[in-house]
Amino acid sequence: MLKRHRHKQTRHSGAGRNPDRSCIWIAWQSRHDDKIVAHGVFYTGLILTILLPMLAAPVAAEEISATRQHELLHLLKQDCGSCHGLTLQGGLGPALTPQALGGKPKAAMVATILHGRPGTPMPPWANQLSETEVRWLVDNLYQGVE
Amino acid sequence: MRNVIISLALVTLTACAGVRGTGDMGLVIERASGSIQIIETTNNQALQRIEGLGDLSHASVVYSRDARYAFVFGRDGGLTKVDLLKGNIAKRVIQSGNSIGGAISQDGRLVAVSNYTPGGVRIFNADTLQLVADIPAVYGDGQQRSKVVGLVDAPENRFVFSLYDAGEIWLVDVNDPGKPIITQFRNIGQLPYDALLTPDGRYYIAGLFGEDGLALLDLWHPEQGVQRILAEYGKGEQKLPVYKMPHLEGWASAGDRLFIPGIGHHEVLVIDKNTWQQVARIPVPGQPVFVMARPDNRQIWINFAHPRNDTVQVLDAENLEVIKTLTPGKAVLHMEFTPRGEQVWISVRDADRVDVYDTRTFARVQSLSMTRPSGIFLTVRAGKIGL
Repeated sequence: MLKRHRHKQTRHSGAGRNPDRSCIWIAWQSRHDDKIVAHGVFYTGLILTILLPMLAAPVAAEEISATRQHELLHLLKQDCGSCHGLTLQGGLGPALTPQALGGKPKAAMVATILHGRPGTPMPPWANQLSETEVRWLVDNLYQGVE
Repeated sequence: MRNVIISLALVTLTACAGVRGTGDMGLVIERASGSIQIIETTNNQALQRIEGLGDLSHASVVYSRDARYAFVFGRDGGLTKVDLLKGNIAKRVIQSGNSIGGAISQDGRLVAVSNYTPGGVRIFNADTLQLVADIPAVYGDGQQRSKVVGLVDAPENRFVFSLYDAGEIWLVDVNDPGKPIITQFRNIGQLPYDALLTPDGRYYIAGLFGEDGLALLDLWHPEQGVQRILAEYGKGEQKLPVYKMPHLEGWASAGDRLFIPGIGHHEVLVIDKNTWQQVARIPVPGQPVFVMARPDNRQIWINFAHPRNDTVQVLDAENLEVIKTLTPGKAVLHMEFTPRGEQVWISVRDADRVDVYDTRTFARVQSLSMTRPSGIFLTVRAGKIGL
């Protein structure tokens, strides 16, 4: 059962490929059978229960080099900023200020950044950012970025 | 006596050492520092830096009909009127909490701003920047307000814009500025993210993020409603992630062909303007952001989203082949052609540079130091429809 409807994950990579295509694709398999969907929700819930605390754990600053931290903050301001605003007050995408994030769980934020949000313009960043880097960025967002 | 007056006038004029036209002038946005630089393209130089324009992270500019004043639309809702000749801020208002762009009416008397928060369009007197009309982009049960994108001026003193959250296009007649007449087109498609008006002012086309195809409104025949074009484009294909939403402004038209950025596909689409059918898909190295024609339409220049935003490609508009690939530097954000297209100005954000290229030889002829430059807007825009 689990095998049939777990999240299908395929990795394309390798020399000679267009670098843009060397990204991880997460395809969400959907089934119309209620039973399977119910099981899917259960298993997804189970996976999230186990994974979410891991995703939400704070990242020690020393895990990411100072140079990389600088790059990440630059990316946050300039590239995330193209939709969320340079000051993260929001644009086409929602505001990412500590007030706006408020009570939203950190783990959900991490998952959104890594895998994107289907049906919206939010793209997945897992091909460019590691999970540790994303957790560090999310910590920064909740604290407020200069 | 008359001679004396004429002589006095001549003396006064010649005493003004700075007398000049604005036809070769423009602005570069320095997005992170809330500043702009006034530039001129005859000697390819920056003339002056002006600060205090607020959050310019997604700024755009339109010009007064005399090309003396620039209206700068900031992200923080700031609307700033800049005097190019005096090199100062003539007027400035904060008109909303979060805005995305604007347009100036055909007669030059009104400046409209499209806002995200609160969602809608506000229209101002171009002289005084006083509010003339407020158009909330309400939809659904009437309580919700949509973000507004793709605002352009259209012939017969109208404005056209799209409602991102509502999936609507609104056509607004502002001939009686205080009493705008609004025509709403509903269910035009999901998540229109930007729009353009063809250079002749006839077709308004909105790009859709939420579904396939583009929404087309023929302003010669608004009674025919909005139709979907290119609905088959990209169907059944896995879409690639989009790290920056494409812009549809300055789209390229050469003969019967139109060139637009594919979304979620690393391609430039070529459309036949007579049939609205796709005639070619040109593979490019990344998600195209701007696809712009040189003013003579001989070349098509393209820049790309992160992570290929260091690259610019040039297409031959006739045989659709890539004739040049340039790598100006990290984060190429915008390109602007000189009025007749012999040169193109390119902003390279992370290199803190604006480069000027010769479009015939592709040689870099000038490099100007700017702080985090983004949009480049030349006064040639003053006389163009739909920008």
